[in-house]
Amino acid sequence: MKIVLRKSLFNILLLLCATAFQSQAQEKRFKTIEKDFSNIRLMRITHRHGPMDVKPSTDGRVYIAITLSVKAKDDEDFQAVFNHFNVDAREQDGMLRVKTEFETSNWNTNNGKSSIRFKDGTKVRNLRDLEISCSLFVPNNMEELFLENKYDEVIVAEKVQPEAIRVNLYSGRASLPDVKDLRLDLKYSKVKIGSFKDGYFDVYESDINGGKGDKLSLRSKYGKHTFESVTGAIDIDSYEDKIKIGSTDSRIMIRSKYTTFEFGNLQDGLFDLYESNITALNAGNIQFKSKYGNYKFSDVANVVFESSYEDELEAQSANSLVADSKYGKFTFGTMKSKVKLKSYEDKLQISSFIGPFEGVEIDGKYTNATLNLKDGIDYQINASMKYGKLEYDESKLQNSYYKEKGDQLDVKGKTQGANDQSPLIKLSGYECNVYL
Amino acid sequence: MIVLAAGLFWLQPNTNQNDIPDLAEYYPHLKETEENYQQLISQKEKDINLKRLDQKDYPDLFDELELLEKIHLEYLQDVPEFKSNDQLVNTLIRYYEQRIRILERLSNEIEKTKKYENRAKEIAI
Repeated sequence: MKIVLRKSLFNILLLLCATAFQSQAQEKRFKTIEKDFSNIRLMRITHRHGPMDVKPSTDGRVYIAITLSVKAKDDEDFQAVFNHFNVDAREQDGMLRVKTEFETSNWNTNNGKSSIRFKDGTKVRNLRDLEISCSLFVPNNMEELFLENKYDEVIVAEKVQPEAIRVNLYSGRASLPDVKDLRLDLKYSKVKIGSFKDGYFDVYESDINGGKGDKLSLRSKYGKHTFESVTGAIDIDSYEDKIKIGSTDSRIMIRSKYTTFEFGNLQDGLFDLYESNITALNAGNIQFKSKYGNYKFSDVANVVFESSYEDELEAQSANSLVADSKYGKFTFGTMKSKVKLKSYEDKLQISSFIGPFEGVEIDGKYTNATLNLKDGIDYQINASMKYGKLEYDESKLQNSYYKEKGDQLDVKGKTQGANDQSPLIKLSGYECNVYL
Repeated sequence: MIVLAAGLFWLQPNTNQNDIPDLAEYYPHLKETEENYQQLISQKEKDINLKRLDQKDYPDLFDELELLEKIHLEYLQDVPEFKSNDQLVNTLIRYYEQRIRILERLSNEIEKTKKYENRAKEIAI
């Protein structure tokens, strides 16, 4: 019994050694397909099963070198693999289309060993380290370079500078240089880009790490994007992203749901937002349509909420606020000129209304507003409040009309330095508390 | 034995577009992970009564679910050719995480609708 067991163990050991020897003995072979072309203006390459790298050519020609490398057990297997590898390149009128062809219908890898069935039914087993790498050399005077890859890299060298680069990438990584016109179509990918003049990015669950941009058009879902700065127009259509832009120098349009934005300095903006957050330093005139938003600015010029529902806005300083709001909370350190609020159950808190004062108009229900008008601001007042509370410095008002009957309060008048042209505080409230 | 193993190897799952395979058909080692996700998804769908929701009430989120399915299907088409690619496997797993995230969003939106309706009732009173 012991002898039988020993023999079996010996046989297993022998088999393992033989297998190990066989795998170690596999040699690596290569098949490279090279092509070159001249006078190419536009090029589109579709590659699979390996990385793609693009470098500049120095003689104005396009060079393509696509290499299949693999370890196999014998000549027959090498031949079977190499026979199914081809590069389809077609050129017409300066337009070059290239496609790596390696059409498998099944590809299994276990413990580093691959078994492949090709679409014509040929089967090859025990392959190792199979990769198809694509190297391109392109001149800088090309109009457009269109690169497409899946599940692998696209690396374009810094010195490659065609007019336009387009990249379609599925679950891959890309590194791209400075380019004038850049178009990205990404899914589940990570991309690093240089500066761009005109960027059009359509991405799904992908991350872009970008340099300086001129114009930016971004359609994104579930992404994380960072741009150093964008000087021209920005148009963003976003869904559940995290977007960070260092600074902007031009008008920005955003439509978003569930997205968090972080800006350095922000110019004028037109925002249509749902449950989105914005943080910015200095901002220009911002016009919102918003629900469930949270916004923080250091300094903002004029804020307009065309409609607001359960939003929170906080700014250290602002010039004016105009809002049609429900359930909102607006908090300002200093306010300069104007507040116009059509309100339902909002809270407005201004630490100091400093002027030059242009007026306040509040038409509200269940609203609390604290204005903290700075001493020396002259105004006219016309208030009509029901079930409400109005607090102001009565000693400042002259020629005042004050009538309190039941739950109705009416106040009219002007401060001592005011005249008929002075800014007006007009209050129309139902169960509102207003503190001037 | 060897013949049997080889036979099993070439007996591959169907990739017909009309017959979306389970991930575990291709990746047996992911069977448990997939089952856990499917269980979680099923529970969340039950919690929000997904089948009875009117898609018109939450058009964006139903669009997101539809888009996710469409993209997932595209990736599944690639499985035979790229089966052993880690990037593909990671993306296929992401599908389940993403579906859960969208269902959670949907749940939050349902809560918001309820809150909105309650407020409307309070105002009416």
